[in-house]
Amino acid sequence: MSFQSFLIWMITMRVTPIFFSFPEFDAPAREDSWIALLLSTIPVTLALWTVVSLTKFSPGRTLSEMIEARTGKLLGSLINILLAGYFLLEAAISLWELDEVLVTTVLVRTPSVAVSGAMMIVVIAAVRLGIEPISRTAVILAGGGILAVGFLSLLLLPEIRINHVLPIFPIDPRRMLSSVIYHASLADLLIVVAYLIPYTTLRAPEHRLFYLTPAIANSIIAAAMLLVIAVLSFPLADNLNFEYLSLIREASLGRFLERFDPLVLTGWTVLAYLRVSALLLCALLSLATVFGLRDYRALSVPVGIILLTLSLVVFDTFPAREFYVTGGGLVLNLIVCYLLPLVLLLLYRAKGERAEPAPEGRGQ
Amino acid sequence: MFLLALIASFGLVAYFEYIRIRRFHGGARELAAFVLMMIVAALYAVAVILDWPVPNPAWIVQETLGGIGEWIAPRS
Repeated sequence: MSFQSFLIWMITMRVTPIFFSFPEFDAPAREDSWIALLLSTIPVTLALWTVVSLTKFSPGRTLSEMIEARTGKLLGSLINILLAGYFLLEAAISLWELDEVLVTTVLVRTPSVAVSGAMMIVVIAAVRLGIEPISRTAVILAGGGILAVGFLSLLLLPEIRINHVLPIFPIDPRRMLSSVIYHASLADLLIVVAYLIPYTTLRAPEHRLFYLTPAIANSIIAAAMLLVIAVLSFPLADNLNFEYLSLIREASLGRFLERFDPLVLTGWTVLAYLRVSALLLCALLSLATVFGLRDYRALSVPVGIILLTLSLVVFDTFPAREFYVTGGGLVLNLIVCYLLPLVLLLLYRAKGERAEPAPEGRGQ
Repeated sequence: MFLLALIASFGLVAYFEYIRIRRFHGGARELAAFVLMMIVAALYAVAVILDWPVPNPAWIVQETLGGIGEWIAPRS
């Protein structure tokens, strides 16, 4: 896949959750979380450097293959199975959030399994088509998303109240540090990049632009946070489950064009497909390595069924999701997205070897 | 009745997937991996439908690592 489409796909994957649960609002820094979000760009970019450095040691190999090459078949398979479970859990959470938004707002009489099942049929079909078609659709969908969100943001400008954002100071340093770590933990695009980067061509001049990915994604999210706070105020937004959706409901164009939320939800649902398909792909790549398969497609249907079933049981309530994302999920993300690539990089550097090139056919 | 329909649909999916794997020159390894994962998926789906206690990975992660997460980012 092309570098440009890969870049857009990864940014979209990182930004999409703001349209559903907006996890950035759960940070300890509360109304100053947008500052912590921008500061978290630093550790995320450093971790991205770790991931890109790893690929130079073993060009063309996925992270799963590199793990097996360094740790052996048995330990490597165990780690890859756990990673597959991690990706399925993350995908199930995204699917659950999408389902919660749709079932509680526009599809109130539709069973959750129908909504999630319909999405999974599309995701499995896309995954079986391959990485290239998904990345190409990312360009079109992200472009449409930018236009829609930009238009709605313009409509909301008259509703902005600067006093909702001010004062910024004083800032609690302990809360700010906790929030920076929390926001950094939300960057699961790091581990997805590690898996999918062998399928793209990352030339030297493109490295610099690629390192801007966290800054671009975090800037978009921070701007969205500021807009929500400026229009709704933080105390109101903090009590909502779907902050951005509630914001969109404030937008109107005179009296004849209002209630954009059902239309916008349609677009956001399509963006969620990009995120779920990326995570499912990574899970399939991990399992394909464990089983020693040339092609992950043979596993797409059963793993898709597992993902659908998991999304139906992962959380019972929205507070349960918040407890997870700010508790065990935070630590798990830090381990998988930061510690694992760093340890693998150190292992490769310690051995000082270059692995064999990947088999032909990689890069579709 | 619903359970029977579900198992029948799983069987149908497995049959068509078998044809696809053979058509695209998949070997015994692909078939074995598919059958194994399909059994896992079917068992998990049936367990959820019948309301059997199934492991919830989010709960396991929260019970194991939730204390550390609470220390890093305390909830107000």
